[in-house]
Amino acid sequence: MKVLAVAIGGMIGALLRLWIGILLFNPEAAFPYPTLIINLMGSFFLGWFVIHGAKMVRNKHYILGIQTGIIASFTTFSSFNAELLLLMKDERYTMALMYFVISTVIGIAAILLGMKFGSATLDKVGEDL
Amino acid sequence: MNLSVAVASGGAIGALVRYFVCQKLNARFPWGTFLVNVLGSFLLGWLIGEERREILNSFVGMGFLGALTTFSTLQYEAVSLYKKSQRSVLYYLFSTYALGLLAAWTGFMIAAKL
Repeated sequence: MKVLAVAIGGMIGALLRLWIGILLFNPEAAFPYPTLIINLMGSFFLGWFVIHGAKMVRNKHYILGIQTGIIASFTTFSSFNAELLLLMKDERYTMALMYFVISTVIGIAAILLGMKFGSATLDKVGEDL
Repeated sequence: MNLSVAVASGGAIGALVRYFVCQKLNARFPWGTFLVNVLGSFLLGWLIGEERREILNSFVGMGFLGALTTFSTLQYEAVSLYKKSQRSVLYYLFSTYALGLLAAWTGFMIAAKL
């Protein structure tokens, strides 16, 4: 059952990454926006989910499927490195450095903001009850 | 093969491998996540260094390796580690970023030479 939750979640996460990546793709932009936006969105959502989402879902298998399956598979570290490598290969060093700094700094910020947002929405639900 | 089918099936396998590795190795320190991220970066570097890549790219690259490696979990684990030990956050992030890029480069160079 756990295996199924992770596998289905992994499918959904990878498909969402593919489709959102296609939507955001701009052949004229050298900067890898799609992966950046996907990674930051996923990080924000993970931050929110661990604080609030998991409490809404409750079922352990669904939590595993969403967290370890969907969100973790949606974001990607291998493409991040491949893109850094290709930017450096094209001698776009400033762009590579910008991509690295924005991903790493805002990546942490996105998790923290997501967690803060999670606490806020959780409090709001608490007030309503 | 249909692009979505290739990415979805690769994604399911990648997520499963990550889940099993992390279950075995993530205890006090997220070694499992570290391992899948560095190894996945190496393999993707290798893949993009190869010439013929269409089907491999969608099934292995976007599906399997995309889901095997994770960015959001890395960020979350860094924030979680901060509560236990601030120094281990630096070790974790620095080693993942440095070795991830080095691994991708190594894979790319191996493919280029073969």
